[in-house]
Amino acid sequence: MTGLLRRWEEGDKAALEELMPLVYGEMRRLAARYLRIERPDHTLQPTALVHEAYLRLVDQKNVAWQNRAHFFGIAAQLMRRILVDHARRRAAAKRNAATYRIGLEGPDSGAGQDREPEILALHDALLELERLDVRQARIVELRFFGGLSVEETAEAAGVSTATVKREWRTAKAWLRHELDAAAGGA
Amino acid sequence: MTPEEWSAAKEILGEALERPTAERPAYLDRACGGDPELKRRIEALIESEQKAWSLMEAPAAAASSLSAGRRPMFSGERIGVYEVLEEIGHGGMGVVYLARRADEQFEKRVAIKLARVGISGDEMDRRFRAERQIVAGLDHPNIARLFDGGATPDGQPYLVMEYVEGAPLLEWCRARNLSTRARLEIFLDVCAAVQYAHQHLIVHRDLKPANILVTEEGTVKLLDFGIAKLIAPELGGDSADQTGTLFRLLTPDYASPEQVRGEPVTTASDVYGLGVVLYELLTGRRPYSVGDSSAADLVRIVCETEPLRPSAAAARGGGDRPEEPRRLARELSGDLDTIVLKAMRKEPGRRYASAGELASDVRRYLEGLPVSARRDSFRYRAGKFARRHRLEVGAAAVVLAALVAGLLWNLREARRARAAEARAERRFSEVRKVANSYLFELHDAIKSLPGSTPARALLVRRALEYLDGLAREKGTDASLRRELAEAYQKVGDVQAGMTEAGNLGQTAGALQSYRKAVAIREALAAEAPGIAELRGELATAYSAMGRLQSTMADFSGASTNFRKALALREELLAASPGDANLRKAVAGSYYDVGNSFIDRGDYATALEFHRKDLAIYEELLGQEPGDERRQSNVSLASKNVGALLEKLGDLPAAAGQYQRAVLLDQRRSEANPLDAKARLDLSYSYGSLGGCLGASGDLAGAVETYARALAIRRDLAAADPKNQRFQNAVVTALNRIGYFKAKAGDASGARESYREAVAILEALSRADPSNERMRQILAEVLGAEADAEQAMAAGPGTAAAARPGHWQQARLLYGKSLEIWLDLRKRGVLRADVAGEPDRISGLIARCDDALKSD
Repeated sequence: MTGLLRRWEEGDKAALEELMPLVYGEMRRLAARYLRIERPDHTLQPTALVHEAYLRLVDQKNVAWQNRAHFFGIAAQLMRRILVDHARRRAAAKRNAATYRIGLEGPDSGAGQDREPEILALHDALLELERLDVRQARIVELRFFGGLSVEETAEAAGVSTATVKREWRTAKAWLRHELDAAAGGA
Repeated sequence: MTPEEWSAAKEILGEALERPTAERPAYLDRACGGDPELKRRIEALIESEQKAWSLMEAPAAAASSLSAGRRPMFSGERIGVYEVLEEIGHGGMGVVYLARRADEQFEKRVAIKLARVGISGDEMDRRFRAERQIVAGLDHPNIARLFDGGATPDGQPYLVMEYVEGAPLLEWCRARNLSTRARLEIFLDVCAAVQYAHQHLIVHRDLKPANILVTEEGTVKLLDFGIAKLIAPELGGDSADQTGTLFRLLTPDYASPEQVRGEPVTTASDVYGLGVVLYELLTGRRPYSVGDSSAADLVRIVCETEPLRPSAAAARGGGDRPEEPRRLARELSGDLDTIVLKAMRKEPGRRYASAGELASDVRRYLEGLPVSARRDSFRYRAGKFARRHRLEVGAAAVVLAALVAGLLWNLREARRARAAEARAERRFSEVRKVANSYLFELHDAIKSLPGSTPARALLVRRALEYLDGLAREKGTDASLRRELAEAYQKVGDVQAGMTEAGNLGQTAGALQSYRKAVAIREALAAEAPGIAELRGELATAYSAMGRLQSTMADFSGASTNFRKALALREELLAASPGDANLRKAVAGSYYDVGNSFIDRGDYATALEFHRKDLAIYEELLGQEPGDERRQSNVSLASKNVGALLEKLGDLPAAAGQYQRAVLLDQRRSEANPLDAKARLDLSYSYGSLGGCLGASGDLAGAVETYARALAIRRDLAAADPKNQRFQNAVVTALNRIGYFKAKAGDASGARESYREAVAILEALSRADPSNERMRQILAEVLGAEADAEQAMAAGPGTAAAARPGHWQQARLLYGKSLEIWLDLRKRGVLRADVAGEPDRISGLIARCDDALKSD
């Protein structure tokens, strides 16, 4: 694995393609495991997930910081893919579902709280931002989809924390504006 | 937009966002030069940036249903012998799929519930076998059948149920615009199903409108009978501290008080659930709005707050019924109010004895007959009156003994579990549960009973031993460390007794306990800076330590801790300004900081802080004027403001504040005559008022008011002789009576009061030598007793032969007093306002010596 990461870092696109399915499978397995364990604070969970995946995939003794940073990058991309795929499937399932709901409703159900369409919309807007500013889009991906802290994001993107904060803030303004425009204009 | 355009716009946007709002327009004018299009675009972006966007405040996974604990299943996947067709619902406990039996030729549709809690297949199997036979035996037209169940290979339990095509109860009624009468008739079907299940010994545990479907033909079907127990047995209440789990799994709006507290669930819990369903069915509103409450708030709301009468709720309008609010309110007031509230009573024993009884009252209402609930409510009031006068301190002691005996038995069980090494994990959680039940339930339950101090100390010490042992085994578990911190804090509370509780006079030990609690909480808060609760708990720990330090005369330590707590709380309140509990906590911190200025003798600054906290407390009381706790807070705060006003010379204003306090404390004592704290507070309020009267020159009034305080305090001290706080209170009253008697010229009366006070203080000081403040008081009272002797020696009515005896006695007492003052000065803990005492007393000793010489 370390070797693959190194090659990717050196610009070997094929190595990345090779790595993706491996990491993806592992993350999915981990995700399934995490979802069965109850965690009191679910906002901590995605980060924990990435870290856990990292620990499992990389032999820590042989890893330099550079590799860790790149691993975060891949993990964030994968989290994005997992979450977007999941949201798409649920949206499809919802379209097919019968018109009534059934028992077992709990505190987290209810129409107002379904955020998945918003995740999908954000994903689309982020694709547009990628066209305008690759680095900024990547910072959003690391922070939002990867669940990384400002410091970790800075490390993974190879920029200062001040840059991360500023890029994040302006990106949020732009994305929010895009989403509102899409919702209003549709 | 091109990448170049965005890059330029981003530059200006970033710069603008970093400036204060007021400076932005001027900056934009400059930066955008003559490009109005660019300026307009950036202004729009700034506007977007300022909109709240909760989605982006947490990682994406937090907003995904993946994180809600649902492992998604998709069409075509298998669960056991069933093939999933589609997802038809989801919620706190799991996901529901429509599925069909894959190995049969004809298609049989079922609903499969996949629980989100992961357990082993064996465990599910065991649990399910035990319950399935009973649950599957339910055969009633209004209850959805349970066919089968098991666990998936990766441990997710699932249940296969009858598939019901219908709409949830409330939606169904709304869609047909049903009248109250028609709604009550449907409700009778619901009651019949519940009654049937209860006769088969099945409790639903999670009754709510969403669990009640109505088919197109109007047939009611109850879902999920007994299933809460299968999926999450902890909801059953056989465990002690499950509030956290419960909070996530149970729908809090419909949970009964006993469920919220984690107590055993019985058929009475379902009667409560039916009451809530009826409430919502009639009013179109839920009885409580629990929203995003914390677990602690939830307990308070559900267990303590009385719901609004259905008619009053309907009168407010805005509910989910189309009728005109006033008309609906008229329809509900009277019998329907009474029926709903009886079903929803806090105490299970006061609800309808069965779903059948509830149904029969609803039927009587429909038929225009008098309902049973009214008669019962009168009987209840009579019973309550009788109980109020029968239960006395002796009875409380019996209750206490029973509690402790039950606990010790629990403890033995936990020890036994400890021996079984093969079940280490289980033992761990059991021991933890027992420890927590000591700490949180029992300790809090007996806290305000007179005579409970030794029992509390024992409980807390045992709990601490257990938690300490567990922490050594699993030192990194954050939730365990949090419990440990809580344990240290409670131990500290019991040792120091500066919270509402009494104390055992172990100041040094208490400080050590608080230090440990603070250290653990500082670490926890640093590890997870995003969790506000941890910072709130840290603030609590700082405050507790500060309060203790101020009793130990460590004023700078106290002030530092109080300010740390205030800073944390102000920061938390700024983040959620609507939070009443945080407002209260901030008020508490103003109060503490104000007190720390009093301790250092800076009364004007102290008054500023205390006025701030009084304002918050009055505002909170205004929102709920009958709330005992809020009355108590206002009373305390008024007294502080009063004391400072008095100190600064405004006696009439001070008396006004004290009278307010007396009034509120009288209300509290009358509402709850067994509450030792309310009575103690009332006695303090009398004391403050008495002091103020005395200062205004009404010496007889002062003595009389203090005598009222003393009588209450003597009662309390007799009921709980080991409670040092009551002893302190007796001393203070004696002291003040002595003072005003002396001032009125009754030197011998004054001496008797002081003498009694000195005897108590000497005993207390021997038991707790490191309590500086108590030693200071002893020095003061010794001085006062000596003053009285001296007055008698010099008094015109004293025979010449008796004079030397009085001088000698005065000389002896001054000597004892001086010894203590000098010791305090040597240790650097002499308060500024009494710094002159050693010299003053030395002078008095010299005067006694002179008098003795001249005789």
